[in-house]
Amino acid sequence: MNLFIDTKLISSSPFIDEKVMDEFKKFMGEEGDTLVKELIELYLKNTPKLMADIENDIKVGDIESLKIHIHGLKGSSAQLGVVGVSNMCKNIEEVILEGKINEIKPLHDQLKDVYQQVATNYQGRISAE
Amino acid sequence: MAENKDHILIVEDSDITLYKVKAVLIRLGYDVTSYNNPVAALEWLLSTSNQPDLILLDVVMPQMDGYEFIRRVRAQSQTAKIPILLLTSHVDTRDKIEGLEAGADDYLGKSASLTELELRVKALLARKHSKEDSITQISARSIAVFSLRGGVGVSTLAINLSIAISQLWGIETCLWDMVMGVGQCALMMNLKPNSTIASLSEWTDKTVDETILRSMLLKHDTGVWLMPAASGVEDSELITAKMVDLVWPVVQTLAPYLIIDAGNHFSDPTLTILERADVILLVLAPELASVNASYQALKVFSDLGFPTGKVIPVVNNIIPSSTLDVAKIAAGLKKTIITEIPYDGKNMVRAINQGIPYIATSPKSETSMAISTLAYRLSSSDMESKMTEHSTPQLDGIRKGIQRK
Repeated sequence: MNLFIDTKLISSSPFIDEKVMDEFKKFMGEEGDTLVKELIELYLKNTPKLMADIENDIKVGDIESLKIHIHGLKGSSAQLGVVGVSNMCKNIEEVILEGKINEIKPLHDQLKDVYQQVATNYQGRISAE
Repeated sequence: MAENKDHILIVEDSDITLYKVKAVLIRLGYDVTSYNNPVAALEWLLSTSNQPDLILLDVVMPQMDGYEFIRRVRAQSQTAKIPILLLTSHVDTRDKIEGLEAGADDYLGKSASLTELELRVKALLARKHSKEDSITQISARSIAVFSLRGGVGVSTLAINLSIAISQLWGIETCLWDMVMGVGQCALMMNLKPNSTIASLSEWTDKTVDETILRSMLLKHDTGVWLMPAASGVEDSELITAKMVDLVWPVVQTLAPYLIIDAGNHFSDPTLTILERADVILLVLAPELASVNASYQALKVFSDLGFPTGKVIPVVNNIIPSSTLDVAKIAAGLKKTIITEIPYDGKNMVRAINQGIPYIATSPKSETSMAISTLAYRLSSSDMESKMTEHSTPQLDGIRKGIQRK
């Protein structure tokens, strides 16, 4: 199944910019479909650990570690065009930078919600293949 | 001929970014080494002999940030000049400045398109190879002319280059014929040797006197002093790497420029010469066997640790109708070809038969101009500062030609 080439046929998500992986797929030629699938599987495999690290950083108040984990999640999400997650990470980075520590928790709740929706969307695509 | 790919190191702690960028670079035909840990990457980089041509580097990493990584890479001589492209999701000016100040060559936002990634990688690699191949800044006081394939015009180029440098600046040059047993240079210049360095085989002192070497030189009326080759098998066998070591410090002082006809095979004395020379002109003809021989020679030079910029390929176009053009040769060798010498077969053969160097018989031909331009590129960084007032129609023509390029 073609996962990305015709975005009208797939379950769309407001949190995913399909153009990013479309570009990657086209760039990679014949291997494009396989590599896109592997990249999504890698994202679904790695992100729960990163989300757990972020949860723990907030729980123990380790802001330096939180900065690194949030930055990592922002970057990896942007690679797949998961703009919902990368934008939420950017918001959290900004409140950390401004020292508004009490605003981290509500943003983190939103981040978890957005990631869950993205993960459900991706899992649906993988299992539909 | 094996493909000579550029080698890129990626250091990125995000497995996802690493996976994607690595896939793209492999698709583009590069050899890729990747690390998700900068400490391990640095350890590898400082110990490997397989140095990358380019480093793609993340900024924010838990073990060591990208800026510190750059500073450590720049602090080591063997890695100091490797171009670095920063991959950053920080896009504000302060971060860019910090990256560039640390020693990065360029930066790329992680959200940039793959086409932009491709173009920036290609641009940095092209700039690196261009710097390696630039000879306008080389202070080449000793120039070895060499090929791993015979019959491509090594002796002809060595002789005519010696004359060209001499005539450009009105100075003397020394031409050392290291093609043992043949004596081509003396023949082509119509000179008759009396003695050669083979007579030093019984020399027991640690140094050799300048006057002894000068007594072996033959003066040519173009301003070139020839140190002739040992002739015959017996004399040739007396020339050793040890003898080259003995002669080298003195032979360099005999004239402002030393040009060596280093022949077309690797021997201990030749390798000693090639190692000591400032520049090696690697002569090749536009045919596959010659290109392959040059590729093999470049590999040997690389294995011996010669700086890449020391070796300059020169295409001697003795096969004018060859389908192997300079662009294809450059791609095969992964070296920029800045000098292509047009062939003037009939006049070249006539010059050899007359014992008069070609450049003296056809001073205004395209072939002579190409050799003189090469001579200028090799000598101008030293001579222009010393001879600012020096002016001849030929020299001014070459100056203008190079400025236009």
